[in-house]
Amino acid sequence: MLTLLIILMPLLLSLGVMVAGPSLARRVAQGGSIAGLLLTLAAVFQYQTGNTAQLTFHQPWMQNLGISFHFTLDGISLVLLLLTNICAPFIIWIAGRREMRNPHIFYSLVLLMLAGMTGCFAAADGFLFYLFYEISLIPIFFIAHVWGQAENKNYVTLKFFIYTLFGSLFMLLSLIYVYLHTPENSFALDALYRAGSSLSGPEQGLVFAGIFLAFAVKMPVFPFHTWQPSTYDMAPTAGTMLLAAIMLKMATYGLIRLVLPMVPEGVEDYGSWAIALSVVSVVYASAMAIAQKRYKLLIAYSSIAHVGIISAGVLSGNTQGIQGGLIEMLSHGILAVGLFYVYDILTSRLNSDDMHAMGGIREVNPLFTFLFFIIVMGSVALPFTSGFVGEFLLLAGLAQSSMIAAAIAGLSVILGALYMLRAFQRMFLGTPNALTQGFQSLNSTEKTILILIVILVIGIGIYPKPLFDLTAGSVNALLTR
Amino acid sequence: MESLVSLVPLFPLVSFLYITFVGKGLSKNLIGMISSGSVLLSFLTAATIFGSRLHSSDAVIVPVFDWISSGDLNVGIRFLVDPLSSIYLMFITGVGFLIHVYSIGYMHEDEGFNRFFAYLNLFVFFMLILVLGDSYLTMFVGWEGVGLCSFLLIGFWSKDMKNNDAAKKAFIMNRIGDLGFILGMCLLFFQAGTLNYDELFISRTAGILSSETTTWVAVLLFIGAMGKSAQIPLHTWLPDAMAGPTPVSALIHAATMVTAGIYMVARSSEFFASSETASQIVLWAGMLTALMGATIALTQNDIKKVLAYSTVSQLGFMFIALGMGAYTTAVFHVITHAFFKALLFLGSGSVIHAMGGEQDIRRMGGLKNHMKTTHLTFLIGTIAISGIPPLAGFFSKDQIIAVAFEQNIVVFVLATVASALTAFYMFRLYILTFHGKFRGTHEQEHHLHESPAVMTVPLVVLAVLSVVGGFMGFPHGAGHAMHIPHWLDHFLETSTGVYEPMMSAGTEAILMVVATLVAVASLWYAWRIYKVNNTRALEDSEIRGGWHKLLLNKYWIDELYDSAIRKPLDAISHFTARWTEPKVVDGAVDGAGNLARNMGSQLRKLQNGRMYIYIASMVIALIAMLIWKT
Repeated sequence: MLTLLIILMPLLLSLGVMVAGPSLARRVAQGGSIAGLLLTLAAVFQYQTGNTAQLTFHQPWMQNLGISFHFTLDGISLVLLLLTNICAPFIIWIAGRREMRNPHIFYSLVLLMLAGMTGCFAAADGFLFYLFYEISLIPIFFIAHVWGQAENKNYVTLKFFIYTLFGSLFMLLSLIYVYLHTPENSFALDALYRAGSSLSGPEQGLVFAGIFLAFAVKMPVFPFHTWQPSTYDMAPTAGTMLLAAIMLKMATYGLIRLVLPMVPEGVEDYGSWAIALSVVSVVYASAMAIAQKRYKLLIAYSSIAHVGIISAGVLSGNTQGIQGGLIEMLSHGILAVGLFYVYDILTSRLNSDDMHAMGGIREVNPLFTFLFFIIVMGSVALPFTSGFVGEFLLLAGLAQSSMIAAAIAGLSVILGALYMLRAFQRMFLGTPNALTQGFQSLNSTEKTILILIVILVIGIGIYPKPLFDLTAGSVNALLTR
Repeated sequence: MESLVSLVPLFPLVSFLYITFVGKGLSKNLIGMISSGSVLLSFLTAATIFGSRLHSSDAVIVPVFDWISSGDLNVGIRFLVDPLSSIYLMFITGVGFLIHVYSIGYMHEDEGFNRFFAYLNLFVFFMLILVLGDSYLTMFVGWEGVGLCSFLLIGFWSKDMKNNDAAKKAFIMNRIGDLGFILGMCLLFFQAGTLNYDELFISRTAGILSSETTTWVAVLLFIGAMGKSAQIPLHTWLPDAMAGPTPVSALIHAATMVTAGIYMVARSSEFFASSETASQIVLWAGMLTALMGATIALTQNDIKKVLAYSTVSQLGFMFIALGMGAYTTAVFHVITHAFFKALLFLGSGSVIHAMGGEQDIRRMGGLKNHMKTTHLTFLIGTIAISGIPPLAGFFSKDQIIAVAFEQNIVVFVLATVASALTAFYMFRLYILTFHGKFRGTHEQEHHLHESPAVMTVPLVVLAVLSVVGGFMGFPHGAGHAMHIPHWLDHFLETSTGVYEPMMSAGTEAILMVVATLVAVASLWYAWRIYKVNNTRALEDSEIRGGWHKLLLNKYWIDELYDSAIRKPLDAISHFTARWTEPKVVDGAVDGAGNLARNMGSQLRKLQNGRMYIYIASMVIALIAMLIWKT
């Protein structure tokens, strides 16, 4: 029941917010997101480490097609639910700071999207996974299009929408292909796992290719990434955060949940291609990040670099790669919220995120500088920040399938430091100029949010043990099935 | 006793947190006292532990908390107390404390006083984690942590973008090394199944490495050491790091952090001892660096730059020892070097302080009459580093040269040359600074003064250590004859590899005499040129000679990196951003883009105010589906 409640609550609230109207919308959404966090924490505490497939909700749906309402939460799903429900209150809180048109519709869409992503993370049925994966796309399309700002808005949002939709079709085809090989005609993940892993090597490779294509667009991975920077750029801050912090994790989660257990031989035989693409993506995106002059685009490209490491590490298919991937998903989500929030703070004061126009903010606002610097350190994976735990394990996992791939992905250790420090120094150090001189100090909301993010980043970095305990059993079960 | 070890890093950490979060309203003196006091407490705790270690050489592991545990990869924050780590604790906290005290005077007028001491404490904390950690991954925590503090302190005066550039350069160059370190750990974990020293070297429950893997692990780890300890080709950040306040140069960029690479190789002595290839790489990287640093130092005119290149060169000496398997000898030189190089840097700080910020020795001269303590202690440091008996540097450097004599005559000759150069550039520096006529402005001359006691007392203590520090490693042959054991080698033998020299006491004595004569001849030469003949150092514009220019411009290595790496990287990035991305990658998507535009005109009809209906119908349908079946 708890599982159902976690998915259903944002759905119901999505309607509730619309009914509540513009004046109450923000409060309802905020309350709802905090309730979602509490429910998730309750599920985490109720979950008994080691046992898989707990907190299950199972009802038949389209029986003749073998599709059922089947949700279950294990350690892996719970990390993603934690990610969703830790980031959601921040995102809604941050969104509420700005005046906007039709806030009730906005929050309604945000909650609908959260419900879609939650459903995707909890689905134990291949079709449900696909369904929720797609459902979450629609609200973000509208969020980006209606509340976003860009001259070529239509082009950008439609490109994003159709690109992702197009990618997902290959996932659907792959799923149907495996489904047709299930003896009991079922979309249940267990059935798909059995059927998929008994396919021949080349067949598995094909299924893998289809699903990976969908995920490669979603994450995104080079060369399927060109929708991402423009979409991140035009979307309102909250939308960008939803995209970067949570939505792309459906793809990296899908690698763990769908790909690894369903087509193990496919990954073994053809995974090196996907890993190669992912590590190329790391370097390519880092090079792009180096060339950026605007902060938001820099963060967008750096996100591609980080996700490339997740993809490569997870596909190496060992404990370190998968656990590292899970922790990095959580870390990347929290850091993305922090980094894009800094964008929001900067543009609210400077009306620009041109890094070359800034400078000397430290002299005016040391606290903001201090907090941002810690977020930057998390992003460059300094030990004792959340970023390090994830990235080191990912590289350690990746090294077990290819030292060379690990070395190439590891270049982000250098390149990431290069573009992040350069950006930090350009924006915050030096002497203040006409633009930054009067930089308003942080108000209490801004302080609180950034401090909470910094605490999470350092807290997870120093004491990630609960996350290891939470995921160890499920990852082990996944690898030994 | 050993359980107290957690306190050693805890004191500076608490002080860092206190100064950062509570210390706003406190007076500078109080902040300075809290900060130095915390390091003093660490030192006293370390000394207690060290005292109890003298009689037992077993390694003790003190667990603190669980950190990473993923499958077979189990790394806790645990502290390993053994001879190697306990002796490092002693000099990190000891020298660290003196430099903290000195900084109270040096930084007194600086508006960032609190921030400075907070960073300094944080540095000591991470440095202690580095040497106390019981696994490579914990060492890496300290390793990157000190790198962070180094970054923060090099760029301490962050208004000046030049300082920020130096800080960034240090961080990036270190990160290049760190990638090697990370990959070394990945390979080690993959092949041996663990990163803990205990399982690798003490209880030996780790998987066995093939000799090829051992070489790879050793070389990858050494790349990390090259970054941190500024060895060719990753050395160019260290001279630039002098942009930071002088106490930082003394503590981080001379005495402690830059010797982390030596600590790492000594800790991994088993890997290096069983890989001839890796050892040769270490040896020749060290040899090249020692020579290059010493030759560049001949021509530099910035007092801190001379000392910086001297540090690069001395670190090279330490790696020469490591490369020849004389791990304890390298540690010996680390310790004596910490004494005399910290002394020299702090002395230079005292000079810069008196000169009102001037660092060019061509504008100094005759300072010995104005600052007696600084002059005398600086002279002691200069003699110590030059390798003149019986000061500390003589014993440790002589031991390195003696090992080279036994092992590789080419290294012996080159190391002797580098050693002679050391005596020359140090006396050049000393004479140009303290002797002759004052060459600065009248205003500077008017303001010349000895530094306050808070700065000179640490100088005196370090000078004493530079005089007596060498006796912890009394020469093997002579010691044998006189029944004085080589205390340090004996002490460290359970932690790292010890080199047992074969030479007789007679050979050893001859070598010592030769080494001393070389050093004395070299300093006499410097004395003749700069003191007797009163030769002045040339202005940059007057320099004609090709060699001189080559050295003055540091072999143009910075320029080489700039045009071979930095500029191409930026160019590739911009090319990718301007051409590859929009024209090629996104161009391929254009077909889909056009399709999207066409469909856009269809989809647009869905948006005009009818969104309520759209969302509502979707949500209701979903809820209905869920509830209907419940």
